[in-house]
Amino acid sequence: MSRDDLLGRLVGVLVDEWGLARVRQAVASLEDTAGLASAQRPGGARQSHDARTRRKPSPTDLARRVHGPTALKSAIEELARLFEAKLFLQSVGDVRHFLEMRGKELPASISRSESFPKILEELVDIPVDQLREIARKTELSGPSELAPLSNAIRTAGASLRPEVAHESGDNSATSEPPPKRS
Amino acid sequence: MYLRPSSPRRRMCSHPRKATMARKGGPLCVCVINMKGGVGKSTIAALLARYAFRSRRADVLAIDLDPQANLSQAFMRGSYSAFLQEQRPSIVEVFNGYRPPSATATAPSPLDSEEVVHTIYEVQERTLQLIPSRFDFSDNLTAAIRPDPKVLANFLAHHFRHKDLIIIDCAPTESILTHAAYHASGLVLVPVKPEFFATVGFPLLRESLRQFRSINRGHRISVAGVVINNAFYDGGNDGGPEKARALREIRAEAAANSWCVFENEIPFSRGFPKLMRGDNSYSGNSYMFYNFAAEFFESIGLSTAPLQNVA
Repeated sequence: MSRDDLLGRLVGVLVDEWGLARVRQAVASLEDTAGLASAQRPGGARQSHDARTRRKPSPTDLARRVHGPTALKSAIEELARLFEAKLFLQSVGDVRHFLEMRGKELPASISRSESFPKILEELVDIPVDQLREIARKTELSGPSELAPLSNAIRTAGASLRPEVAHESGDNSATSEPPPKRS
Repeated sequence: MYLRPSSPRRRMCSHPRKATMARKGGPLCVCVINMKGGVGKSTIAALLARYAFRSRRADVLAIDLDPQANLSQAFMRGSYSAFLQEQRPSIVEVFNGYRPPSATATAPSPLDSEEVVHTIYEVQERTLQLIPSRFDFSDNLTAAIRPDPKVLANFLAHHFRHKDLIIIDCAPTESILTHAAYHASGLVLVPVKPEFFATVGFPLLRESLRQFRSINRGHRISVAGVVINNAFYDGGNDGGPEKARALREIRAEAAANSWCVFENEIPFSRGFPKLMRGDNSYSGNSYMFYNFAAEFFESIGLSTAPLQNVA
């Protein structure tokens, strides 16, 4: 089987599964993200090689291409920067969760670095104030840890239950027993 | 002892509810309760709320009525520490009925419902929101002269009629918080694990509901069903004779109470603790939870909206 025959068969499988229109959309999206829009068609081997070695646009590159109000672009670029720094959606599981909660699915084969175009499709529909809130909360968005929570409970307990003795042996303890918890 | 003709294991739980998103009668209000701790109430409440928001496209309010605040920590994660330190409004203020004086306000002020909810997810006009709990919650009620168990129901009736689903995570032991959950709910979901001590929660819950109904004859509250948690190890050891014995006892007790048992059971999964911590790196077989979630929401009439595939 020649390479062209193999290509035809593979594309045929995609068309059978998703339909010609969806496959064309996916190729167009790939052209945008891989920077192949200026490449001539049909491509020869040399042009395919050039396309492969050309740098793929980064999340911030993609964010800069967003058309819209300045505030929206600025908020999306900030999230793109945080995504590159692995502060926003740190794992592919986090990406999948983010998309699933918005009613979308991420194919299992896509890696975190490849997923930003899909994330971007969602971000452009989110109001600017929500985007800013997402950016603001990134440092608090990772998995919970006991130590910070324990410190917060201790600090809050000092103000909410001043009459209760601290288990650490603080000298401010009183003689009254702690109230029963339900 | 009356036993229904069909096996409770095979019978689907169903309730005569209209399956529409714009709810004429207001939101579906479900409290997740068992008088035994550690059966998975908070995990199940959290995952049901998420599923309803994501897959049923529902507008959801989750309420944490447990002073241990596990549901709040699962949804708010790192934000929960900040919430505690900043003493932001919580379920405590709902029961108090006002915001106390603070660093920025030297007088008590009315409680705005928007101040007390935390938005966990938002997509267009729908949200998954949470009224969080705080560890001093029970102190506040203990110290009150006459704590009113109807306060929460009143608050929800005035401020959250627009929601599709309200789900309440309850504290395990019987208290005024239990009755507050009953007053605010029309449905009860009972998680149970196939362990002897967990099954002891059943008769305690039965008596609790019986007493509530006898005092509040105008309030209709029914048990949506029993869900068996930690029911099996997918592909592995099934727990042996003791687990089988506990399962038989659960089904017999449920049948005696005329409570149906959901056909889909929740497996043991290492993914659940990770999901509750907010770690999405590994979910294991926790996806099997959604088989139960689909059955549960079909039974109470929360309509379906399919997921869209990205690729």
